Parts: sequence; structure tokens; C-alpha cells
Amino acid sequence: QAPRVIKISHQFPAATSEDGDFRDRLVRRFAAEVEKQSKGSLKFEIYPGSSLMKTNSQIGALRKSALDMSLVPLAYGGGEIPAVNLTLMPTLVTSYEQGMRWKNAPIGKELDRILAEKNIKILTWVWQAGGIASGKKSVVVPDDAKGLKFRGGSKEMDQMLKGAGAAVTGMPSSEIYSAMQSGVLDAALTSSTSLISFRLYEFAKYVTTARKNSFWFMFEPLLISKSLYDSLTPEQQKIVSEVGASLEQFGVEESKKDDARMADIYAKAGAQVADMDDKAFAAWRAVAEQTAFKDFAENIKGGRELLDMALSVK
Amino acid sequence: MSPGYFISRAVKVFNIATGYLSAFLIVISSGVLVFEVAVRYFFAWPTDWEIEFCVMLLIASSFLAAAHTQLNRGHVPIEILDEVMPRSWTQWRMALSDLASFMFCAFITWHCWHLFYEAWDEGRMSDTSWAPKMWPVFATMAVGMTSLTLQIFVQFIEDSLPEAMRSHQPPKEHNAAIQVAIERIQHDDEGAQK
Amino acid sequence: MSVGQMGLMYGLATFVFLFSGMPIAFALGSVAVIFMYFFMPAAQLSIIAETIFSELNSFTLLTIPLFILMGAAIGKSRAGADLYNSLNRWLYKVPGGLGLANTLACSVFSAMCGSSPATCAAIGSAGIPEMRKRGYSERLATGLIAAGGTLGILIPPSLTLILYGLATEQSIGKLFMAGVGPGLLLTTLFAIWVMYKSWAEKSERLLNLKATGMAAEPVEFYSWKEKLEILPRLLPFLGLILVVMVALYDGWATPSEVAGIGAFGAMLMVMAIYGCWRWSDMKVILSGTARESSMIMMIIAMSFLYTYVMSYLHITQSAAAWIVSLGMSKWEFLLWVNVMLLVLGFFLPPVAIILMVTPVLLPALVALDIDLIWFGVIMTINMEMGLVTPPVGLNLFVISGIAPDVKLKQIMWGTLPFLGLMALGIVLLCIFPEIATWLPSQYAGS
Ligand code: NA
Ligand code: NA
Repeated sequence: QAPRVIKISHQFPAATSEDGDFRDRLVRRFAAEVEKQSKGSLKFEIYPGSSLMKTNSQIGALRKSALDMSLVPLAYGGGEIPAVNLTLMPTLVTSYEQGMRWKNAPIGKELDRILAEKNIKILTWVWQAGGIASGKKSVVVPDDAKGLKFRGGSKEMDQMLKGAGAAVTGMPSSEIYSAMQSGVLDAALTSSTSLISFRLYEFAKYVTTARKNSFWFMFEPLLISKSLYDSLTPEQQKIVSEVGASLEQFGVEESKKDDARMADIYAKAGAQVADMDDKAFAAWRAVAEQTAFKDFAENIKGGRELLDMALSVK
Repeated sequence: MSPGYFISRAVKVFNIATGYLSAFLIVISSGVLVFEVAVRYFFAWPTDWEIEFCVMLLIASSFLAAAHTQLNRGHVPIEILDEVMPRSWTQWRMALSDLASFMFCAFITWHCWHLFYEAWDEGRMSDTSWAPKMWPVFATMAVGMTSLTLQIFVQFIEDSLPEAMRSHQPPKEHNAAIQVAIERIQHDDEGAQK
Repeated sequence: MSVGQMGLMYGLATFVFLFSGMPIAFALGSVAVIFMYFFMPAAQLSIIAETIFSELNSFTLLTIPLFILMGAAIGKSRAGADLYNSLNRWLYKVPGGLGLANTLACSVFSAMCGSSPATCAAIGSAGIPEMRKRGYSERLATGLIAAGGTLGILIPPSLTLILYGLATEQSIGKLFMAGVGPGLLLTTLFAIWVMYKSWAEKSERLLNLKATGMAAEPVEFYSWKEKLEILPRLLPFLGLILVVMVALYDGWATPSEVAGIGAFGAMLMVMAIYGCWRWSDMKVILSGTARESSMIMMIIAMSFLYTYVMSYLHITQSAAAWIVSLGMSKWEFLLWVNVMLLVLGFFLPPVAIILMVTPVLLPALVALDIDLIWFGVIMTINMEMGLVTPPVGLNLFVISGIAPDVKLKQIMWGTLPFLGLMALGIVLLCIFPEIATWLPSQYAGS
């Protein structure tokens, strides 16, 4: 019988070596391991760097079974599935360990349920922390952000930054590089890995890392279209689920490595490196509660309950 | 006035109006961008809606002007075969290609309306901090594609069908290239006299 | 069916539909939809409208209508004629002076904008009618602007170099610097050609006039007084360029936002300085803008559908993987990669090629120890060629929109010599890689 070909799309650069983008490496490991265990009955075509479809269409395509699999920031689906904005909520997740405990907590089950309704299933839980690159001044506490031209990159982050007095701007990610270089933008917020791959260290003077604390934890799972999953044989389903879960440890380790690597790379390029202490984190939490938390609880159906469930994970 | 003539006039008038409207949308978006750049640079105001708004205006403009463009047959074809094939063939080929264009555009139109309906029904928003509803921009796509489809249909009936199959209207001057050129020359002359 | 056969069929179907005389946008879309229907799961058809929207939902892309507005405001008012009249008084003695001015204008504009069709639209709207008024042939005038516009993605800022940098993890700053030398090289080659060609055309015209016994063209002459008194007419344009340059390089605006400033500034200029505020004046600018931008945006929208199918069917990626699998030596590999890029360039726009091809080529490039910055520039020039080759050449279509009375065939013939010059540019870069690598190497310290 001819092997079943499964297409995986993601937006990250293809990794050509062992220090390439770990999100691409995670996908490749997944594909190789499943191919091996399924004895070739499942094959994969990987489309890195948005070479199949635009970043923001991936979740919609999964929903309609027009895409098989994707490793994608779940919050990008926030326009279609408002509840998933919870997965890029500032200060909500406090560490990798806490984030990974969502999986078996009520919030994880609820998330599975919400996604299942939309024909999506999570195979690998991946969280990633992020930091701030700045060309103007070091941003550690909310007051530092005041008056800075800032790119938050997502709805909830923007709300918190606005609450802190930053001039948030909605430019596309492809423009971050030239905008920061020319000074149109003072600071940008993104994952440690993207802070490296966007090469902002070529001119950033300050960076705030995720080594100690980060208000920026993004859920970036490996997803499969549920209709595709359901169409697999029970044996194949088992392989796919088990291989997916087995890569979670790899995800945490590589994310942590990138948090440290990001600090090194920026330091080497001459940027001033800062970490966020507990007090600074608490200050950001206070701002987030007044802005992003509040908006989510008030304007999204079941938002309050979802927030409480997430906060109850210790 | 026959109903056919009335429909064809109505489609054309609507398409001319939407053509100008869409040019205005481009002008407005240039103004919004100047505003964005100015308030960000001089006052450090948050500018979280401007670019997204402009993107929506420009997408709306591209679709709403599609029928206006088709009115003058401004959607560029590659006409190499025209010179190689006999004239009588060319007319059949044109009719066929108009029919194919019509079918394609009708197909896309249907999907645009479907996209609009889904977004409306679901209350789909954009995932940015401005978070506008998505249905208005999908609606402009659907309206633009609909009027484009109608315009192609009208042209198919009026000037692509081989003369024997056409109703009695005399063939109109529909060569856009010539018309636009005349328009431009006239304008240049007016300009030169000022 | 193998992927190779599928690719051939796709290419063949493209030719059939395009040459059927259907508008390019609908022809590309039809090919895509038909292949979707026959070779892709049914769910794909359900996301067609979504795919079109999401691909257009890009601010960088949507600068094109803004630059078209800017071009139309200048080209369809007195402003354009004024600009070229003043330039002509200064350059009339230089053979091909006006062509030279247009080449330089493309090059300067490329430094302000990261997109090639946008560069074409902005310069061509005024440039092409003016050149033709002064006796340049259709082919030369349109070919020059179509080719000159391609510099938009070579001379920084460049959208494609940014995408290439992200895909290959190369310094975008260095890529930008590497684009400067080759950008100037191509500008020079284009300038030399246009000067020679317009001189040749002029001689031929004079010969013809003599043969028919008519009087020669009136001899142009401008005194210094005439040259100086027209200078103030250049001020509005210098002002506009200055504003845009300051906004871009002083950190007011990103290259895409500059499009808005340019368009708004140009509208203000023609209204305030050229008194172009009556409806009858505005009408020409507005309807021209709507038509041209919708025409090109529809082609772009449908070409995304076309590209999506090609990517989904794995045609492009398989072609690249096949070339890599042959295990050739460095120069053989480079030669065949360039041939492949050229062929892909017939059908696909630059951004699509970068996204699909670089991830596959990258390991081989690294293994063969090829300088990735240098290769990025080679690839960019190659894709510039794709912008002016049929059947899918965005710049050709832009020119066709702004010069609707010139046949597409004439524009294609017109770009042919420039294609040769771009190929020559690639060869020169292979022999003297320093043209690209010198500037970034000066900066290597930091
Ligand atoms: Na450029
Ligand atoms: Na081409």
C-alpha cells in the first residue's frame, strides 16, 4: 500500500544544522520518528518558512482540514477562536514547568475540548519564553516602557504595553528589522529564538532575557487536524500521539537553551543584557491584570473561568 | 428601453462609481499613513490600528475597482495569438476566453460570499489589539467579484459573441488600449494649453 | 503521476491558458483552480477565498497601489511634463539624456522602496510618455522602465533580501550592503545601453528624414538663462524626494509607510502647486490609479493561488531537491541552480521562489562552501530577470497597465537587451565577487 503523505507547515526558518531553529528541528524529529515507527506507512512533507501558506492562515486551514499539521503559535487563531488568546497572555505562565503542567490540569483539558470542537488536536505541548530587544533603553519594569515605540506583536501583549504607557505600533514582523535599525521602532517583543533569528542584535543596544522571569510565554504546539487524526488506524494514532508527547522534553530543553543563547549572542554583539527579577515581574503582572486580563475576562465568552483555571495551575 | 440594455447600463454605472470610490480609498489610506507616521514620531502616540486599517482599505480598493478595470478591458491579456490566427478565429477565441473568465470569476465570487458569510456568522475578528470584525473587508471582496462577474457577462453578450449570434446592437468601440490612449492624449493637450 | 510530469503539465496548462487571450489574472487563477480540483483534496477548494485574502493581507504588498497613486499624480498632471522639460533642458546634449535620467530615477527610487513593481509604477507613469514624446521607441522606453524597476529588490531596502536573510540566517544588514555594488553595476550597464540605443534610434530617424527629403528635426538649443530659469520647477520634486528620504533614513517611517508619504505628498504637490484640484483633473488621476492598481493587484492575488498549488503539489521543492541530489561541483551546481531559478522565474514571483527554494538549496550551498551573502545577490538578480520574462512577469504587466497603448509583445521585446545585461551582471559577479562582498566585508569587524 502506498504511504500516506502528511503535510506539515510552519513559519520558522529551516534548520540546516544542530543549532538551527529548534522548532523546525522538532518537526523534523517528529516526522523521522513517526516514519520509522510506522514502518513507512506515514510519510511527511515539511514546508518551513511559510512556504506553503501564510502564517496566519494555518489555523483556519487546520480547522477546515485543508492543512494536515502545523507547529504554530496558537494565539494566532485568536480572531477565529477567541479563547486561545489565553495562550499568549502576559504574565499568566510563570515558568516552563508551570506551563507544562497545564497539559494535565483542567485548563489543558478545556483547551483540548475547545480545539476539538474546531477540528484541531494538540500532539506536542511547546511553550516558549521571550524577551525584549531595545535600541533606546533597557526595559525591565513597566515604567521603562513609557513613551517607547514598541511592537508587542499580539493583542494581549499590546494591551499590557499600552497600559504601561508604551506607544505600541502594529507593523508586520517582516518590517521589524528595518524599523528598529532606522529607529522607527524603539523596542520589540518576541520569543528568544526569534530574537536570535530576526538578527536584531546587529543593532540592538539593550536586551531583557527570559533566563530568570519572563512575562512573555507563548504556547506553540504541534497541531494535527482532528479529521486526519481520526482517519488514521488505531496503531498509527498511537504512534503519532506517543511520538508527539515524547518531544515535549526536547521542546523545554531547547527553549531554555535558546533563552541562554540569546543572552550570549546579544552580549557578544555588545548589547547590555538585563534579567527580570521577581519584583519587576510582579509589577508587570499588576499592569496585565488591569489591562489584558480584564479585557479577556469581560469580552470573551467564559473568559473569567478560563483565566481562573489557568491561574490555579501551580 | 429593453431590460437587457437597462441591466447593462446599470452594471456599467455601478462599476464606474465603485472605480472612483476605490481610488478614494487609496487616497484615504495614504492620508492615514501620514497621520500614523506623524503622531508616532512627534507625539509617540500608540499606532495600533492604522496599518491594519490601510491594509483593509487597499484590499477593498483592489477588488472594488476590478469591474471598473474590466469595463475598459484593462485586465491585461497576452495577445500574441491575435496576430498569428485569422480574424474569424480570433473572435471565437475571444468569446471562449470571456466565457472562461466569466466562469472563473463566478466561482471565486461564490467562495468570497461564503467567506463573508462564515466571518459574519462566527463574528470573526482580527487577532490584533485593534481587533476589528473581518466581515466588512470580505464583503468588499465579494461585492467587487460580483460586479466583475456581471461586467464580464455583459461584455460577453455585447461584444465577444461572434456577430451572427449577437443581438442587433452595433459593435461598440471596446478597445481599451485605444480609448485610454485617446483620453491621455486629450488630457496632455489640455495640460499643455494651461 | 510523478511530480516531474505534474510540473510539466502545470507549465503547459499555464501557457495554454495565458496564450488563449484570457486576462492574465483569470488565466493564472483558472489553472490553479483546475489543478486543485483534479489533484488536490476537496478541502482545498473550500479555502480559496481565504487563501487569496491571506496572501494579499500584507502591508508590504499593498504599497503598490500607493506608489501607483504617486506615479499617476505626477504622470497625469502637468507635474510630470514639467519635471521632464526641465531635465531635458539640462540633458539635451547628452546622447540619451532623458533615458539616462529615467535609469537614475529608477535607481534612486529603488533606494526608497523595496518592491520592483512599485518602482516601475512610480517612475514609469511619467517617464514612459515623456520619453516617447521625445522620439524614444516604444520598446526602448517601456523596456527601460520594466528593467530599471527591477532594481527595487536589489538596491536596499529590499523585501526579497530580507526574506532571504531570514531563510538563510544571514545578516540582513550585510545583504543590503552587498546589494549596493551590483545595483550600481546594473544601473551603469542599463545607462550605457540606453545611451547607445537612443543615439542609434536618433541617427536612424535622421537618416529616414533625409531619405524622404524632409527637413531635419529642429535643432534643440537652450541658453544658460533658459536652463537656470526652469530650475525652480524642479524644486517640488526635490522637496518630495527629500521628505521621503528623511522619513526613511531618519527613522520616521518604514519603507512601506514611505509609500503613503510619497503618495500623499505627490497628491498635495499636484493640487497645491499645479492647481490640479478640479474634478476634471482629479478624474484622470483617480480612474487611472484605480484601473492600474486593481489590474496588478488582481494578477498578484491570483498568482498567489497559482503559487500555492505549485507549492502544495511540491513541484518547486522537488525540482530544487533534484538539482541538489545530482551532487555536482561548485560551479556546475551554481550554473544549474541559476538555470532552474530562471525557469522558475518564468512562472513565479520572487517572494514565492525564495520561500520555496532556499530551504532546499541551503544545505547544498553550505556544503559547497558558497558565500551565502554573495549567492543572495546572484539569486536576487536572477529573480529580477523573472520579473520581466513572460509568461508571468509582474513588471511587464505594470508597464502594460501604465502604457495601455503599447502591446505587451513590444514591452517584452524591449526588455530583451536588458535581460542580457542582467545575465552579464551575474557573470561579472561570478568573476569579481568583490562587487558584492567588498562593502559588507568592510563592516565585518562589528
Ligand atoms: Na529597494
Ligand atoms: Na517571469
